[in-house]
Amino acid sequence: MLIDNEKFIGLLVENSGLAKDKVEKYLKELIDDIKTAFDEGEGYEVDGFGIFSKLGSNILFIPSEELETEINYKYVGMEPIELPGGEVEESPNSEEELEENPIQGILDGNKPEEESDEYEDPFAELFNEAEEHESRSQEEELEDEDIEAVVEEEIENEDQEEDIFSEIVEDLEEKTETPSLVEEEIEETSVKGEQEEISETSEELDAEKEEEKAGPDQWGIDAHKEDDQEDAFSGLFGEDATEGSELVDEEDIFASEDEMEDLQNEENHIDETESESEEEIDFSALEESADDAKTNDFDDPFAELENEEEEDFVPVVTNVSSGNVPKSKEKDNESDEADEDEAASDTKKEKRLKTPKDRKQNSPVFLYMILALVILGGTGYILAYFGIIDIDGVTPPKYKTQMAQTTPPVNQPNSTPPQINQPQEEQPPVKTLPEVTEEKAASESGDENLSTANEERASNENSEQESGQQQETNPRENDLAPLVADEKAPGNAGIITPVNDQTDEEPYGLKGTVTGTGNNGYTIVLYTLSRKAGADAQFKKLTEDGYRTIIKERPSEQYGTLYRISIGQFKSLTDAAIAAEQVDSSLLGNYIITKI
Amino acid sequence: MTKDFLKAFGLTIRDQIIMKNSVEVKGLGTFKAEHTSQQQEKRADGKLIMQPPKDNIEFKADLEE
Repeated sequence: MLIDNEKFIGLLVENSGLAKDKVEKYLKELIDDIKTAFDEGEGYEVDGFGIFSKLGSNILFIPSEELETEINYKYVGMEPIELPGGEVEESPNSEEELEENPIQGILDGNKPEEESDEYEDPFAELFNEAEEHESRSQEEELEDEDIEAVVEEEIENEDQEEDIFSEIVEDLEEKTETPSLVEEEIEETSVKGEQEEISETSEELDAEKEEEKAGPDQWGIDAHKEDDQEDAFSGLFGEDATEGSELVDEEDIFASEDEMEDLQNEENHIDETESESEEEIDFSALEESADDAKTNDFDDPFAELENEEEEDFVPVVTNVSSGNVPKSKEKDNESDEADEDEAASDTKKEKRLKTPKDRKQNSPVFLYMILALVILGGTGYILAYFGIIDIDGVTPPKYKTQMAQTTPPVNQPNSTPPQINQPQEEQPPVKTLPEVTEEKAASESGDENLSTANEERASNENSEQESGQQQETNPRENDLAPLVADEKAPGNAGIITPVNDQTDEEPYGLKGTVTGTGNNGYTIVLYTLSRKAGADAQFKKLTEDGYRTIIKERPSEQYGTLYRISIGQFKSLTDAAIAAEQVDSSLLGNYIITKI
Repeated sequence: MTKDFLKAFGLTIRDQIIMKNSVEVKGLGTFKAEHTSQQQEKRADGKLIMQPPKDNIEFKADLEE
């Protein structure tokens, strides 16, 4: 609505109490002073109103802070709000990613395996190194074993030692009556005759075989080491492979049993064993030398490995039966350092063999637990951060304020409220608006902070809240409920308009008279004025139009006492919004709906 | 021109502006309320900020040069 110059002068007359001609005169003087100031290149300030200034050909009006504040009373307390949408657009992706990863990790059996593979890589490398080392040594051994196995087979086929062994086995099986004494003698004789027999066998081998094992010393060493490995693997495999060694053990066993049995056949057996002792001496000597080789050379670490990893060495067994001669050679040359290295590698193997399995079993559980905790914690934090959950220290205060703000969605056209044609200052408010002194006193003593907060809420309920935010209004109402209840607690505190306590009046409605029970509901706020005279004038006009008009004082430290002018009493926010559509748009302006 | 007149001058224009009326002062100009709706602003850091609504006074000069 346009207030032309004539109307403006009339309003000035009303507000200033001056005569019209004086007003016109003063107004002309004011304009002349402003022009003069502009001609002098200066601005002109009207105290409490603003500054007129001229920049080039443009004349500007800079409203004073007071004026700017007063015309924005409705929006008091409204501050820029950080919307969750700006971050939510990005955060859901991250959240989904966070949620998808653990789910995929749980559902997919591949990821944990990949992770475990990643963890296992170093161990696998070590393990591979150890396996390579073993495989290399075994390959070398096998190569040497193959070569020597052929030689041994030839030797066994050609030599009488085969007969000797077979005879010994048969004799021992059949004649298990050899006494311990005889065995001791046999051992003594075997120890004495070791070198002789070895030399004899070596000579025979030299004669029959070729270049490699020409030396009797080498042959003796080789023979010992073959036996060593037979014994070494005898515990693992070898019924077939360790027949020779078992036979020797059987002799002892049978010897112990023989003591319990017959003594009569001792002499006969002695004669026989004497004849066979030479043969047995060879075997026993080999065994003893093999035992020595075991303890001295290399068998301990490999024996441990083999005892632990029988299954892994199963395919190697067939070749081992022929003898692991090169092992001993290499390790004789490498001496104790190689033994220590192998021992260290053995211990590493043990750890490596266990740790990957353990990790395969344990790592997913820990991963799942950690992921679950991270998801729960992150979800809670995000919910609290965005105000869905109120957690002290996490939920930002501005979000709390946002939660406290109610925004009833009301779309209304721009309109202009009715003009005030009455001189406001000349109207004594007591005449037109009998004040309820008690309520006013209560309102004056009311908490200013509360009023400020309510003002914020009221301002946030502005109709400017777009329809896009309508969905947010309902939860905010719930958040507001207790705060609004506090406002009602003093009993219509701040309402300075008369209340009709007659029972025939409906408690709620847009028109009629204000009822006490209706003050529990909602109302449509039209203006918030700083001058009581203006509020009274509006009250009078609206009452004449038949509206239930309410003026409520809103004390504020910052702006002093404000007068909120509203119409209607409604039971619910929806009723108020529906009623607002029925109100003349020229009256509504930028209205808001709030608790009375 | 008295102080009371200047005070009434300011109050009258203010009240009309609050009530969304335009005020024409012959020889000076027209005061008009311009409402700026709440609006979203996207900051450089990606945050969405909801700026509150605000009423401004728009002045169109009518001074005779």
